[in-house]
Amino acid sequence: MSSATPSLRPASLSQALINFWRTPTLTVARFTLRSYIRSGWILGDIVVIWLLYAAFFLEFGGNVKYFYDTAGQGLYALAILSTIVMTQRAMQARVYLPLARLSSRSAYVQGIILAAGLLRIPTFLLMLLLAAGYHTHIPILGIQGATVSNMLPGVLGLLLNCIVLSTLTVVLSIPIATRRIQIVFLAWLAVVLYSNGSPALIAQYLAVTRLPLAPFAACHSFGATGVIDGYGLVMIILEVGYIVGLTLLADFWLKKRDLILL
Amino acid sequence: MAVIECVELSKTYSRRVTALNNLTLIVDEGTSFGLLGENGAGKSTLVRIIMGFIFPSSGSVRVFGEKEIARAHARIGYVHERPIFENRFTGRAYLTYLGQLSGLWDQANKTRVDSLLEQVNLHQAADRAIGTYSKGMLQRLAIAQSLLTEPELLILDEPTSGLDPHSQWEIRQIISALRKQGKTILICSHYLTEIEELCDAVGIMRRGSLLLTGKVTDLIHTQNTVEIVLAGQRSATDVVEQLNLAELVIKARANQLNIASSAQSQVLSALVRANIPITSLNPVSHTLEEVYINAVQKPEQPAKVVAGMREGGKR
Repeated sequence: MSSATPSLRPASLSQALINFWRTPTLTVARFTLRSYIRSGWILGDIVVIWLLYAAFFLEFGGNVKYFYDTAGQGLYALAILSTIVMTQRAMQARVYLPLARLSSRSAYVQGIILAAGLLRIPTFLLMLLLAAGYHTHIPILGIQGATVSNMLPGVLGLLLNCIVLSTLTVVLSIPIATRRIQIVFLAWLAVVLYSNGSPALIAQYLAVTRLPLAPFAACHSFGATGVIDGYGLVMIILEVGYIVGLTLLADFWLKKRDLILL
Repeated sequence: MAVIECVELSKTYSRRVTALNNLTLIVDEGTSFGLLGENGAGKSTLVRIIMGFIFPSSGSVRVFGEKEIARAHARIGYVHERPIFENRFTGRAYLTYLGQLSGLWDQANKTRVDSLLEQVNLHQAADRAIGTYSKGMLQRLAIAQSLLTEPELLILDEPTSGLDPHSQWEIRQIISALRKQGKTILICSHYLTEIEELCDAVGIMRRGSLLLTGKVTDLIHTQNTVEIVLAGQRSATDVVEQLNLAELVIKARANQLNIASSAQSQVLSALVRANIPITSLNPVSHTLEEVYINAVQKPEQPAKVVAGMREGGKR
């Protein structure tokens, strides 16, 4: 028996991995990504990355802080845009056939969230490769002062922020969210922007509405500082909590929705 | 055993549009049930509720006894009214994906997909992009995907809508074969001949209500009218006048009298008293089209259940 145990372990581990690979969530995620790529929308992502590169990095490389500030904002916008496209494609009438095969809607929405999140990795890597690698033969271009150790915290923060944004975009998509929820979210966003930009007294009171953005801001700053301290670790945990929480929220909302899709 | 049980089902959409109104429908195991009704009658809403895609405003629905219908999805094959696929994938790739979602992997998936493509006569186009398929091929692909898990219940929403006659015939052959296998089938259709050919029982819907439900054979042989053929060349009109039967006769033409079955004994007595011989007396058969038109033209009333059916359509 004792000799059989070690040989069983790899088999059971590989079986566990196969079972994991075959979960409906991963199956939906893989298909959603394949569908996004085959539809040609992936070219849109590549073009946006190229435009960002051309606009902000072609003539001057900048340092690590510049890279994360500039590329970060572009990648955040791209995360929102490409997730809108991906979710709208996945939530048309074609959803009925996959849903008719699943024993709950959870796997479907989780698959979309996973696909949208995974897509952030290659888009970021492409941006990084272009900015860091393309002009290494010209010393003043590329990312100045970039080392693996001072780049990694920024990578983690930027990717987490992009994934939070893509997850939030899925959650706020119709039919997962209602128009009312979308309006409430936009109202909150307006209050946040007002409280951030106005010197009025009321804006100072409204600063409390910016609290949920603390993890986002902290993760964004990792790129500039190149350091993740204790506070940063807590913010990372909160950011992961956002992703999990938003996924559960999407699942909860979608379960209740009438799916009348065209 | 009831496979589908809808009890007092109502559905009101947000703008106070009532799509279903207190509808009760029960479909038994092995029954092929046809849902007829004009556009907007509520057929598709009913199907979506039965599939668990939308939820009733009131009432209850169970499929295979499951109130949470998604749990029964593995036992249901579904064809949407407008099958929309991923056009850039091949028919085989898309079926493979849907098979994987149903837990079919590796050789089991390949074998099942190949066999279904053969069954619906799509094997030669299996490796072409779905975007190049004709409407008939798309419909056959939709039927193929519905059969992936060898379901006990098939729900087909307008399976032949918009197809050319040959494609319609092909789809009907497939459904007919499935019916012979004893599958429970729910078909929504506008095509009365199709329902008459493929279904054991039928429900006629209008404005979210079930107007009439019953076995097809009972509906088309509803004995509410009988036809009496008078012997010889005696004029039916003259007999009606002579015996003063105008109020009891629906139609008098040549030597034939059409009367309500309830007036049968009265008319026969009058003929016997007047010594007028008859050749035959038969119930009048309707086509399903006549049954349908009669049902939808009548003022609205609670669902009528024709002999041989329990309330709501159960045999």
